[in-house]
Amino acid sequence: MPTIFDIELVFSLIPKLLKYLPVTLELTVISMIAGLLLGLLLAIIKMKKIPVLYQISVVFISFIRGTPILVQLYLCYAGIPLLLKYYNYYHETSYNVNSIPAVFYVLITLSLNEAAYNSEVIRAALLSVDKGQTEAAQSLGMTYGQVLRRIILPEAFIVALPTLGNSLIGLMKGTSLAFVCSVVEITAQSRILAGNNLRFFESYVAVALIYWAMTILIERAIVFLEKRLDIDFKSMRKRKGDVILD
Amino acid sequence: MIEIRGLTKSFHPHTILNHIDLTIRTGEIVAVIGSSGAGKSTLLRSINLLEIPDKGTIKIGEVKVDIVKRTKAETLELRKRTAMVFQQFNLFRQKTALENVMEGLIIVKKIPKEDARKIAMLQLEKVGLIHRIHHYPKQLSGGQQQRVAIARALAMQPQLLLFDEPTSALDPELAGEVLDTIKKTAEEGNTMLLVSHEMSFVRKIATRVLVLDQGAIVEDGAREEVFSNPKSERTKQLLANYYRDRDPEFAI
Repeated sequence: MPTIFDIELVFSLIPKLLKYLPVTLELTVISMIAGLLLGLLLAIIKMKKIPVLYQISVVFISFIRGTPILVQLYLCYAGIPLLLKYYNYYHETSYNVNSIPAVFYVLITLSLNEAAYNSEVIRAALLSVDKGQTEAAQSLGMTYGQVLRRIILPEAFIVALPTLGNSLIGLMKGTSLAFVCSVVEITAQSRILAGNNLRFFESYVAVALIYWAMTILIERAIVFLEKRLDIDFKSMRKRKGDVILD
Repeated sequence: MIEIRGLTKSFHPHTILNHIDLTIRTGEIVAVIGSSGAGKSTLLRSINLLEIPDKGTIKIGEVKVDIVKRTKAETLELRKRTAMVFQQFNLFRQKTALENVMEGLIIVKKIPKEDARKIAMLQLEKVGLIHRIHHYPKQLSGGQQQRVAIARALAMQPQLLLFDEPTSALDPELAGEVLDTIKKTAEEGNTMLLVSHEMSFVRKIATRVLVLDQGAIVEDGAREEVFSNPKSERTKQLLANYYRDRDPEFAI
């Protein structure tokens, strides 16, 4: 009887797939950071209702939420070269489309997508910081930028942390779509490896296990971070190094 | 010296502040009394522009700000010259008592961290919380939180200290420790503008009493003058409650 499910193959495939884990991680980390910064910007635009920018951001967020990420990747992959052609045509430049690495398209799409979803989370978190603290900071003579950076963001971050953790997990799994733009990360590699021996199921099981493990790691990291940021914990640590005791 | 001229604020159709003129000399402790809704808090919050009045001018020291023509820089300058203690304490929740006091020194006054730490420790010691410097606001009682807030305000060395009902959110037992701290602050020669419902406290520490009614100052005089010889009807009504409470219930 032939082997129906080759469990040993699964474990021998995992190290081969892990070679491409850095690509997955790179896509995740860069998109998350860009998504957070842009999301913060969108959140502030929405909160402050800055004319023109506000309307643009509303349409942008609605569009991103209303279209599948796969379609967004297609749009980006096909649209950016088109824009470049236009630019070359009207400015008589000769930028080469092929000089843009494929990863670029994925990063742009994932960052924009992440920004749209994060902006709502960040906005809610910013609004949850009570006005009294802002007023106290202002009454000391701080500028809005200082109040935001020193008072509002540190507290809003703690509020948003669990939700942002979920969004990081979603993003990490979302990078599996990168093959659309011919970027080889772990999912694409699992298909390539399966193509060699036609053992598709084993290959997919291997890649699934890697995603699962990564997700668990992220969850743990978030829980750890939450604990570190807990006020009673922070206070204990600060008091330890102190000579003055109660 | 603080000079306020023609300060007006209205939330249509209500006039909250009606052409307030007020001069406070250095070292004066001015108490503002009046029923709720009289505009006491708005007056205080207008002085550091947490509330933007419709018109008027505010002059603190050399800085004179015309509300209508104010710039961002002027607003900040005015706020740097004042410090406020709030009814709800409004401490920074993610910072320890020490960090709360240091924050303004480092960020606004640009004092080096080590020096700021020394100043903050000194101020916290003065309010009797040197053993609580690494506690976060939620680990402190209401009274302790308000004392940290007072230390935070004092550390900035403002030309005018604003107290917005500093003990209203505290039960009487905890209010006592805060009132003692404010009294100490007053004795050190700080210029203060204080909104309070604690009449006996006002009578103890204020040098001057203002009575605010429907956005206007209806009485302004030295403490004893206002308490023992009020001129306006409104003041008499306000003080009637205070004197009634002070009368013994039984007399032999």
